[in-house]
Amino acid sequence: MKMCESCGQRPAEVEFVQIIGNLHKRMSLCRQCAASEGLSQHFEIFRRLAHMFEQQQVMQTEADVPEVVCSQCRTSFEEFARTGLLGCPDCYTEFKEHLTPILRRMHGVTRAVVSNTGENPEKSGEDGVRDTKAELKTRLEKAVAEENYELAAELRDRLKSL
Amino acid sequence: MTGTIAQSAIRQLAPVPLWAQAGEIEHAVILSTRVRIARNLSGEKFPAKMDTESRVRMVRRIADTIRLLGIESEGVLFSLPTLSELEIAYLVERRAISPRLARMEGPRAAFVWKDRDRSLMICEEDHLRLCEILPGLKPRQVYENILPVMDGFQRLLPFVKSETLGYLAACPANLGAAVRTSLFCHLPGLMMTKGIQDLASSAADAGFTIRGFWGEGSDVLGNTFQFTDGPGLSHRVSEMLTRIESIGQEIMEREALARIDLQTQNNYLLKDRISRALGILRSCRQLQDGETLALLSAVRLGVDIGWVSGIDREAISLLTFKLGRARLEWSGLTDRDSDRRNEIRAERAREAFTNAEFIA
Repeated sequence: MKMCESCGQRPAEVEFVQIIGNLHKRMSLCRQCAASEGLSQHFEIFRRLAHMFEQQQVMQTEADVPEVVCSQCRTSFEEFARTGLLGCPDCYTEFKEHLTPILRRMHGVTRAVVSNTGENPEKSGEDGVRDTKAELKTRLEKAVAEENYELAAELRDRLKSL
Repeated sequence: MTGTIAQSAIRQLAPVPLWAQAGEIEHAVILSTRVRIARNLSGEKFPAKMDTESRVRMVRRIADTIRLLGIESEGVLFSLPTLSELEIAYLVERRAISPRLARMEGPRAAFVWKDRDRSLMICEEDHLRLCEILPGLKPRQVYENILPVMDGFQRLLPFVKSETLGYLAACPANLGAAVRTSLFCHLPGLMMTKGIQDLASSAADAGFTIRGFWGEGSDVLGNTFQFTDGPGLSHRVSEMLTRIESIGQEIMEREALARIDLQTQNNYLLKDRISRALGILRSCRQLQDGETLALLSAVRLGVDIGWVSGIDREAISLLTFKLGRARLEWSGLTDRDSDRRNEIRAERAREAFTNAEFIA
């Protein structure tokens, strides 16, 4: 279990990403240290969002939640960010623009390679898992060299998912 | 409320779930495997957004489907609002329903199979969540057990599915095949050698979610961990099953190595921990819930490595279940006073460990 990088005493529960310009500072903190860093304000929102990611808790200092509402079930995107849950199947189309980057981070891709019980043929296309490891690695190195950390994070996640 | 416990429909379930009877050597580290398949019906909001009426309709619709499938005699349908708090707590301890379903409000239900650890939750996070638990490392077998059951429901119900995202679920993490597999692992060796940190971070890198199984939040009681994985959008179910089998093997190997280290280097610490736990279980007069899991874990390790005789793994698995809070109240104990409960828990532990001895 990862320990808090600040106190070293308690298990890290929060992945704290600070974005200053295009510099990313990443730290794993426990709840108490996250709070004392003055991050408690947005903690609740991202605690639930983190639940959605399940594996790594994610918190950002700038809560940039789009103000959109599903026309079918009236669930707002902010509500989704807070609870990690969508309101109805239509939310997927209504929030498509904002969900796509989240799906990419979460799954490495934005389309299912399997859409049934696991035995459907693979889907191809730019978001499929056709990229080879070597290609992704080259692109990742390039992204890091260019300090394009957003792209680097995405490529890293896609590499991991291979 | 359904009246007295003696009349409760829970009495129709097998008295002890299968997972609590597992005592073979292959259940020593990977206690059990659980697979869960989630589905939602088209034309309905997800449960969190459904009003009372539509939830009632949903529960009724699924109950009708269970009858149409001819499987109603295989289990018991529990409507949660009609159950007492104790009955709900008991179903959670039995692992027949999730703590989330227990905590939720409003119409919701669970169809629990009588003779196997399988249940279908209705209106939990998704409309339907079917899961089954088998002792040991058995992801493929559990998946193959429940997939045909879900296929049965699929023939009669319109599940909502997208061409690009697979089965749609309330939480986007469950998109795709909407299947998740969990391994429940007893890792006292890795906890003591601190090897757990290394295992947890490499498992997390591989996309697994790790958490303590008993207890809330980040507390780890009884050295029991839950490793969870799903295929998500980027993998096939068969790939996920292979991944979970291989992480299971790796967990077993790492735990085995940690136990060897503990037995060979500075083993007086390990001896102290196991014999002390056994001593408490044999002589205590008050035993608390969380403490019980820690003590049972230490003695279980003693049995695994041959340092404790006179009790077997199966008996310890059974105690993990039987000394549970709701279970104690359930078996005739009406007194909800915690001292009295802790006293009875201690009494049962002393009884079970009468012949147990530390022999290292």
